[in-house]
Amino acid sequence: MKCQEARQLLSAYLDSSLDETVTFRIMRHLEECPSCSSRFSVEQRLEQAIQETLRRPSGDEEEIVRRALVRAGIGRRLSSRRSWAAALIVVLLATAVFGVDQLLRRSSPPVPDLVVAAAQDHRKFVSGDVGPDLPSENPDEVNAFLARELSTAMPQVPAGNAWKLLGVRKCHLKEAWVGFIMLRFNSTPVSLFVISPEEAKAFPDAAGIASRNPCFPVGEEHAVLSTFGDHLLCAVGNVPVPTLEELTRRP
Amino acid sequence: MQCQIRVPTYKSRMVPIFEPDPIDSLDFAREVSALGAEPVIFLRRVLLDESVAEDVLQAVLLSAFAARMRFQSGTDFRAWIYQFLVHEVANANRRLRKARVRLNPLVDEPEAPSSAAALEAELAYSEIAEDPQALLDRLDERLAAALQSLGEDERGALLLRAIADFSVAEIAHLYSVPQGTIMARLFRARLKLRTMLAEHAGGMQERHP
Repeated sequence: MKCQEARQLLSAYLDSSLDETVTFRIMRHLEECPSCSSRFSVEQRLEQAIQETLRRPSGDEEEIVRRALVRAGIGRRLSSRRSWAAALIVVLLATAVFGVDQLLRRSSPPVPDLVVAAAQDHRKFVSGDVGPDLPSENPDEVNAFLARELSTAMPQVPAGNAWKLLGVRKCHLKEAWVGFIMLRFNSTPVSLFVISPEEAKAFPDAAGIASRNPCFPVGEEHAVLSTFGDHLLCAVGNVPVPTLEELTRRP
Repeated sequence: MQCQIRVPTYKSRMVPIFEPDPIDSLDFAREVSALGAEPVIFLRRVLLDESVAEDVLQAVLLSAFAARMRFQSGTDFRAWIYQFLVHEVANANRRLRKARVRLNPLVDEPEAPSSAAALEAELAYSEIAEDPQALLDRLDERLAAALQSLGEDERGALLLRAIADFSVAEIAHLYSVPQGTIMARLFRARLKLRTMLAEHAGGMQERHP
């Protein structure tokens, strides 16, 4: 191979897009020709420096992705067709389980959207479908994650051996980004969702009543709403309501 | 004569409301978030005006989400979403170019490298080879302008290779062109880029002998 031919193939050689025969011929030429060898090594260095420069982030890229998702309304809701299907299933199940009379006699307040969405994610945690982004038993590490990812914090985990912190996850509940803190009470999974004041605007019905610490039966689980400073809390678990309140009502 | 009109049956008009999405809204958002900073870095470099990157990204997400039924579970989400990125970038740059021409009718497309340009690049290259560090130290200053001197197809191919690390075959698939076309675009892009950078290096040496 001559130098001119080797240099014409330099670009394709850098992309590893040549077939084995041509690549082998170039490699042999580089072993024999110090001038081309030097040129190829400078080219590789330059190419690497260009790549590093081009890939250098400004620091706000992930925030732009998050904003674009929110503006596009993705990650907030199910598609309308699936929403109708989900609503139909809920109505049929409710009718079958409780009976029409019982539904008509129910006097408890409607379950807020936040509680319904939190209970769905809690069940994914229970079934092992989701786990923490940051597995940690250390509340300081969990708080650092919440501060970094969501500008929020978690309440103190109750003292004693019964409670065990498992970790934290950043996820969507309907329209909002929330901190999903995973714990165990003895061996029972308990979920605690922390929602910043900004994101809590997505749940006006829950935010309006959270300060009264209402509780709701959600299937076999209980859910408790509360506040933590300006933040909204929602605890879900198959444990007694006072146990959930122990988690949400601590200073 | 026998009637050829096919009467649709009730079954054929039924909408399967329980047909599962290959990727639902939350998973879609998670997959997009998992791509990290890369799509925005790519958009900012490849668009003629980086300030529209967020709008273009939003358009990409809306198009891809609307077409999510075509996504096959278990395949590469990143490669799939880049199909929409490449398409929206072409649309956005077309609009931006029209707007530029309206404002300044003398704006020309970058020219393909001639043999004279190749010779010029060869001469300029020897300057780079003599002192590559001088160029590398100040690469940032000139790279953005040098990229804008490339044709759009060349810039797109180069950035898909350099930022997104797609292979030549993958880039060819994204643009629906033969691999040889992408290899030629990458060759021309590198040639132009090095000419511009070498000119800059020469300018620096004149300023800082």
